Amino acid sequence: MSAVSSTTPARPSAIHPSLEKEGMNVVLIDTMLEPTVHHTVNQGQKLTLVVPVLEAPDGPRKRVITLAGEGAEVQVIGLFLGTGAAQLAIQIDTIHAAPNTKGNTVFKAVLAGSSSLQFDGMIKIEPGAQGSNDFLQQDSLLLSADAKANAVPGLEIEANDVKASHGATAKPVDPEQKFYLMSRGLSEAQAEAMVVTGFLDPVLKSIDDVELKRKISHVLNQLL
Amino acid sequence: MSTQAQLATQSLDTYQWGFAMPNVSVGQTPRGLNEDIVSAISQWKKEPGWMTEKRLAAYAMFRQKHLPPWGADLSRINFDDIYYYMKPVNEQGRTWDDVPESMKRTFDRLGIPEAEKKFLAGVGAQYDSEVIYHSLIESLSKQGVIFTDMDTALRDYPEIVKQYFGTLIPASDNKFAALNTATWSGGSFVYVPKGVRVEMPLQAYFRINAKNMGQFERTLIIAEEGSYVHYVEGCTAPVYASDSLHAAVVEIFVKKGARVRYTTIQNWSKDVYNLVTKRARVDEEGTMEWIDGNLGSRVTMKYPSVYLVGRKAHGEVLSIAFAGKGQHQDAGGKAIHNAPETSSIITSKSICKDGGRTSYRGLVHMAPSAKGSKSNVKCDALILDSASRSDTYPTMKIRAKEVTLGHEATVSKVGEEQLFYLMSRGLDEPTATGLIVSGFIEPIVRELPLEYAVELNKLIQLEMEGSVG
Repeated sequence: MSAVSSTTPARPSAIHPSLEKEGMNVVLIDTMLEPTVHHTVNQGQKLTLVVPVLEAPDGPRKRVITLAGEGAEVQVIGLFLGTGAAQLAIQIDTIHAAPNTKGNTVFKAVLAGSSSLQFDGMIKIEPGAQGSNDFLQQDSLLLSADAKANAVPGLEIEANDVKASHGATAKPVDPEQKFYLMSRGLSEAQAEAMVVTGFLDPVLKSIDDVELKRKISHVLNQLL
Repeated sequence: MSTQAQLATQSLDTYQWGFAMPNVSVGQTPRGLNEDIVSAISQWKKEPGWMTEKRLAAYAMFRQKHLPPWGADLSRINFDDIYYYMKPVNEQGRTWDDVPESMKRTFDRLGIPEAEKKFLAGVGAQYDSEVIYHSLIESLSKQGVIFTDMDTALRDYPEIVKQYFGTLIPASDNKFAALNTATWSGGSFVYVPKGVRVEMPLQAYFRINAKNMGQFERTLIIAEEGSYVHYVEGCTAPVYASDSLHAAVVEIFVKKGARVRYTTIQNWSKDVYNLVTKRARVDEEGTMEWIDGNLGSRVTMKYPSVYLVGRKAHGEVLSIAFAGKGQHQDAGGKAIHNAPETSSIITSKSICKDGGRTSYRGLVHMAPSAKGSKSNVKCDALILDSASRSDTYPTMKIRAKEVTLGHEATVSKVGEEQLFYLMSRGLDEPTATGLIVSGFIEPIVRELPLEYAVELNKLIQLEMEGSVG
């Protein structure tokens, strides 16, 4: 039985190669080529889905993760670096269909220029998925007046012995943090870059892929 | 009631050219709604022509508009089976024996006085608080405050009503706003002049005649510059309604530096669809506070809104919902930030049990002009058993720089440790759960006037009886 099975109904031939690996822990790096992808996580297995959006895809993207077996786990780590007029509309649904399943989603966006983010995140806990818990966090850092951020995190909970929560924030670079750094001799641009890096740190830390990390810092440098 | 309907239908039949102007003995329109009925309501109430036209235009919009594709299930509403207007003075022919047993028990448990019980149950035509009401009105009018029902306001202060009516919630806003505009009756009108602070909360409840309990109430509150008023609507005791649809519209204008607080505790009987549009417009440095409690009804869809249009305007929504068996409470709040340095806080607490469903639905919108604005939204839900359901559907739209927005939501069950602690002190499980639930809603309850807080707590405990964690 495959550890984590994924289907892309639109273009099934384009399944990410790493899906062929089997194991209890699967790490997928999803570069948003496919409009819609469904992942099914089976009993006792863990999926880590890394979603680094460095350039905006050509249309809305949807990822559905079904925790189908008891004890299945998913961790979604996402970031969007929005420059120019880049637009990202992304939906991430986590469906808890079995008991004692766990989910955790963190999605951070840095929005510069006139870039925009539409984020829809749903945590669904079905009846019978007792003992499950999930947390979703979406944070946007707004670097320009023309940037737009929409967030619609949702919860649909049909079991009582569960914990489910989400948080969403949108804010500019904290002037106090910037002031503090500048008072230590950094230029305004340097200070801002440092705050942005700090904002992304929790996401960057949980990415192991060296090549990907290098790419992210490259795009980040361009953005700043 | 059916004989009255027949009577009304007969008079309709005998009048070839449309709806007959009824004689005094006919106190209500027949079931269903059409243009003739809409005009008749207006003529009955001897309204000015512009209102009749507004009603008719709204009726056309009502016909065109669809039910919302989101939210609670409204497919069971039969618009043709509803009485849209009933003369308030009409004896409704219901007796104490018709009142459901469960409701009588609740009245007793809440310790509601005999006369008041009958009024709430719709069996007594009037609740005898006329004396209090009149002395209140006297002291208010000395300050220039107007507090009356909307029908009277339209007659006595037509120019004020015309200036504000439907400007914040136009009939075109949604299907139920259109329905209300076409068929409204009753509701309150409050006008507070510049700089006047109304120290006593104004209670719709005090207004003696049955008008204030209408199905399609229309409320308009205008607080002029620097004024303050607290308006309290409804009451914690269950209201027995024979009709299944309540679609009210509430418009509030908070002028520069004014503050308005609007408290609702809704406890309609469990067969009512409660679909209410509430909106406040807040000017510079004004403050609007909605305190909204939903306990009764089969379905409630209500999202009190604040439109912050002046610099430093502030809005708050405190929402509490309880859904038991067969109930769906779809409630929340909206904050639209249209001016710089505005702020809003939305706090929602919900509890569901016995298969009930609570949904938080909300919106925070920061327009490009909302530079330097802040908003914070916090939703907490308790699910008490595995048959119940809780949802959270918040929407955040940010179009402005230098705004700060935070949203948090949690759904959980009653904490086992808390329960264990209380039970180890000798409480049985239902009592312990009740206590935890009371603690959970405490941040909202403490904002209520004392008598409401007491009644709300009693009511929650009553609902909790027989439940197991």
